[in-house]
Amino acid sequence: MTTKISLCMIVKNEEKNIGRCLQSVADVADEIIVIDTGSCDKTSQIAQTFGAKVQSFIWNDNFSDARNASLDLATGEWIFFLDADEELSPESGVVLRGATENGDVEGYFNKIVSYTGNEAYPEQSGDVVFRLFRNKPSYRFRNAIHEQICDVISEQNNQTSYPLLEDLVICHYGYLESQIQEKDKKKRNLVLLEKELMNKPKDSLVRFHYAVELYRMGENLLAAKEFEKVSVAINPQEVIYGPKLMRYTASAYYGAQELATALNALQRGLALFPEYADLYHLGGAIYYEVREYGAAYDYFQKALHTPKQPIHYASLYGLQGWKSYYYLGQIAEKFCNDEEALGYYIASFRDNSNFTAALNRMIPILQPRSHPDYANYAINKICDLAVPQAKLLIGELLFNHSAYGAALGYFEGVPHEFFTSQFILHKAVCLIQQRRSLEAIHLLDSIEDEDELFLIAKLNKLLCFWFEGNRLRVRAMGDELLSLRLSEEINSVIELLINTYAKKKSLKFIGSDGMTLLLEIVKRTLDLGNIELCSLLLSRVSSQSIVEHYLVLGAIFYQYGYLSLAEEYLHQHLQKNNEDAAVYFLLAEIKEGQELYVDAIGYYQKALHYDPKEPKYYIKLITLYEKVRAELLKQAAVQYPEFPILGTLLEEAGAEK
Amino acid sequence: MIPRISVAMIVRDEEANLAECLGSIKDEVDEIVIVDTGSTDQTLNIASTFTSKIYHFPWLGDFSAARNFAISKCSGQWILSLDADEKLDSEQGSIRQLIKDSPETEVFGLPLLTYTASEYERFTVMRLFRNAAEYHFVGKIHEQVVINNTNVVGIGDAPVICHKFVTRKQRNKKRWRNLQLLKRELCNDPDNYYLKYYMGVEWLGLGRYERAVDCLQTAAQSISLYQPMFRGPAVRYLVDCLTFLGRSDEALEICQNECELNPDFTDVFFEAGAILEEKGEFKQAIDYFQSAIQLGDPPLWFFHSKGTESFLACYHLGFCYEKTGLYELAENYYWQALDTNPKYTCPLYSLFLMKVTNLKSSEVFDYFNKKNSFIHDQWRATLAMLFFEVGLPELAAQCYEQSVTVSGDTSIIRIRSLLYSGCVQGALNLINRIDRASITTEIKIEEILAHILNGDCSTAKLQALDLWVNSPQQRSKAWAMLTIIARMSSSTGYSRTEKSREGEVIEIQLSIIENCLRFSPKYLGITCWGGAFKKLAKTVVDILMESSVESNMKLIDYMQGKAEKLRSMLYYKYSAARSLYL
Repeated sequence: MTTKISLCMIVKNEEKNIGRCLQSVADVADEIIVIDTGSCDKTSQIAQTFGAKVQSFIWNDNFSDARNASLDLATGEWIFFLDADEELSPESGVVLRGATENGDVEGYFNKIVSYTGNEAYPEQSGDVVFRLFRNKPSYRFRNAIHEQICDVISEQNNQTSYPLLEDLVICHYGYLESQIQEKDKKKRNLVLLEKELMNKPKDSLVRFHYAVELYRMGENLLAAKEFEKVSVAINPQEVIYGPKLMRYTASAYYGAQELATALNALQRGLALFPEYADLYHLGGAIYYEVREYGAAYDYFQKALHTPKQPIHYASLYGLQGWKSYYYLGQIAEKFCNDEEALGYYIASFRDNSNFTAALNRMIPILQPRSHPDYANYAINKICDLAVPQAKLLIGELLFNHSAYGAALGYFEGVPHEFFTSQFILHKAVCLIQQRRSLEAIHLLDSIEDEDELFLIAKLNKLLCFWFEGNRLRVRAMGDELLSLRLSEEINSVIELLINTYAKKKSLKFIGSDGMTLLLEIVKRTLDLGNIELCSLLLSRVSSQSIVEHYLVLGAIFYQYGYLSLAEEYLHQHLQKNNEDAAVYFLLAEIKEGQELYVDAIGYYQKALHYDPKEPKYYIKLITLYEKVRAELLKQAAVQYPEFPILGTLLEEAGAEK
Repeated sequence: MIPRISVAMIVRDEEANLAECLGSIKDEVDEIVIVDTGSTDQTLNIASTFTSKIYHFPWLGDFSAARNFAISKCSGQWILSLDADEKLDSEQGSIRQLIKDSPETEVFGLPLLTYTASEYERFTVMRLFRNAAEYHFVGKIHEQVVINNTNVVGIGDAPVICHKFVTRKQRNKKRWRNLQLLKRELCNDPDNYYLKYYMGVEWLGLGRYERAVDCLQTAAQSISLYQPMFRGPAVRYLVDCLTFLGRSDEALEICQNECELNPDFTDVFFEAGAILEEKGEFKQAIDYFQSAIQLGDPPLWFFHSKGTESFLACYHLGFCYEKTGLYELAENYYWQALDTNPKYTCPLYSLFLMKVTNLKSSEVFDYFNKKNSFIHDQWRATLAMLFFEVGLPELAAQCYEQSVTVSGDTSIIRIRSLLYSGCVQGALNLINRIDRASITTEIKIEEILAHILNGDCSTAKLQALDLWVNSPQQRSKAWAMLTIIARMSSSTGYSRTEKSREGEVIEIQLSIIENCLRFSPKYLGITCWGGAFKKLAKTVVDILMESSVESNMKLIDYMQGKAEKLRSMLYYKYSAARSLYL
């Protein structure tokens, strides 16, 4: 004979969730008790279709009373509790069943996995809960909120610990963005907890829950204060919620942007729980934010190398893998170590193949514009490109990094049924940039009038003609677009394109929206290698409109290898703002490219003085010193062939590179 | 009845110190007794202006014999034993007060402070005792007063005996002599741990750590806890030796053991912290430094290194917190250290490094300005030097503009700051304020360079020639200047440097390049960048590249040095991520 299990729940207005919940236990529960505390939707009807015994209960601001009402109705030997926003994982039924056949145990801990954040890419974290116990009249919940039964059972049995069923897993969806409780529901909880705390001011667990609720509501500083009170009152190493307490304390300070205090709290936490991945990860994130990359690196490495986290640490998933790898990749990039960065991004992506952000960071490192073959080779090694979606994704990533040629290669492998208007537009842009105008125009024409991308498609068609220098069609297409009554700013850019080749030289003012478009056109023109056209275009724009964009223009010209033009724009920018480290850095790179090393050294030093936290500036200057040294060595070796030591040193310098 | 106090001294060739010593005690004692063991200088003349009780005693290689002879000539009821290189630092009447306050006491331990550069170490010495037959000196060297009954021993915090600051060199001169005497004594008295202790101190002073460890280990193990005035320094020196020898685990064990046995002994807590810090165990180190601060000055009979209870501990706490990434705390401790002892400027270096690798340069300046750091002479000089060193001469120059009192400062660092921040005329004006007779070569060189940068090669040449003619010692420098001037005026107008001066000439040339590279005006226009500084740097580089294989090698090494220096900055800031760039 098997034991009888009663599933107990308390619910209110859960029509969206209760079906999923009850379905998951349909094969395990011998009896379902649902206490409804005042639903006005279909909750109880749905419950009844699962054969539940539903009873109404007048809500009295006390969770224990409601739960105990369900216990009063339960007839099984064992009670199992679920909330409506939870479900039992598929493999758990057998475990649950097996556990109730053990005669020596009064109750069990089991695992709960909470999903938080965005529904599509949720974060996960595990924790332990006490949900399964013997049905005895003396086992009743206490506390109005964050009701407890585990302690009650312990007190009656002199039992202080219960077996942990790691394979009995409850999935909890209540913290997902789509599910997140409305403000008043949170507020209601807070009020209840406040009341509870008034009654039991010395109950640290209640205070802890109170603080957690404050933290969830974004009251970070208040929460931190309460967490601190708890950690003074108890020894975090002696309570099951101790690790979480330390994490919450640091997180609350972090939420309040009290970074130094957060770090301090974190170290206190680590002193107690030196292998807690979440504390290391949080520390890494804080240090990264304040640009202390050394400490950040250390912390992420430590997060990676922590052992498997005990369940009650409620460690967030991914901290010992993809999340930390991703940060490490970014840190490696800061130190100009592309090879390591790539390694970390690959590790991150391998650990979580949904994490395309890692893939996205890899792309510029592979330099798909200048080295398309190598980039393709690497991408093929890293990704499984068997499915069309993967090709589409990679194509889009490459497209976003202006690697049109490489992107096209992937787009061309995407079959027709996956085409969306955005995809068509992007593919057309790639074709334009490959000077395959006919195909591009054919694609652009397939985007229909009512499509939201219709205008952009037309604009690209205009650009296509403009790049080709086809004045007549530019004029025709331009007039068509002008007749569509677009914004004045866009119109002024279109007019600029129409009149680029006109003899009459007038300067046009373009507002900031128009400039965004214009800069995109500049980039595309340079991508096509048409510097003359680009200069012509810019010569028609009033300096007044460009004044805010010198830096961007400088960076674009630098990116496409037009160093002296880049330099001009950057100097223009410096006249407005001479404390911009990034500009000095670009100038240094340009000077280094022109082999004007004394100037390059000066600019790198400037960059360092304006922003000494950027590791890249140190590394590039160090590399430059070494380069100058090597050149001096080379010249000396030629000048003094009778000193073989110079040749040896030269070889060494070469070998190091 | 008011007791009479006699000071008993033995002297030999102490003309440099004696007047100061006697001046500090003449109003504190009733009688001065001086025993001379063979002076050949003005010692006796000086002594005779203070006292008529001057005696001669032939030197027998036995300090106790001489001292006991001096005691025998004293008529007071109390004896104060003092050396000529010491002086008394006390309020008037403090000896009498001490005696009056503890009538039972017959022998007093007094604090002896020996000064180092910015702090002092405190020992306790038995120097004040009743003039009675049972209190006499024993031991041929490091003689001590015999004490048979410890119940009559007391300790006083005043007066304080101050030992004159002596350089390492001066002190080492006596060490070999002391060692000979100690060895002989030990033959007679092999179980005397105090002699072992003193021997250890001498070996330590001479840098013979292995030998010192042997002696001090025996001493520290054998001197009982009830003799903290010896045990303290013995332990402390032993720890020093072991640390020097890299045996830090042993040193740590000794400290930790001593912390338990002597929970009031501040210095060992500090030492334990320092060892842990060295090992990178910052969190543990922090606990020990905190304890040291909490303990404060240890009880008087303990040896004590001033600062281990305050500014030194604060400085090290700052360092440890910095290393653990708690920067705000670190900063607070650094400032606490500076406030406690403004002369101890190490924390200023740490703060500067912290700030200059974190804030943009103008903010670094503002930070120190807000803390009023430029008012304090020593801090201003330190900060100006640091700003200059990291390539920010204009901010170095600004350090001097924050306080009206420094307008007359003509230090080399201020001159260089002005010159290499492009304020050539300002630098020249400052140099003109200096009396020509007292102008240093260093400054003369900058003056010549200022004229070169001003485009005034003829004045520069005149001054360089003047340096050549009038300062034969400085001819390499003059030569270096002349070659640059010649090269600046025509492309061939200089000849090869003599081999004998080449090294020195190259050194100067490299320092010119280094300083010119510091030039970094606020706005770097396409045409404005460089100018005269770039031309000068370029000229010197050309000279070095054309001169010889040595000069080429030095230039190559210089570039490597630049790379390494910057790498060490990067390492300082991001040491934890070193695997990414090393």
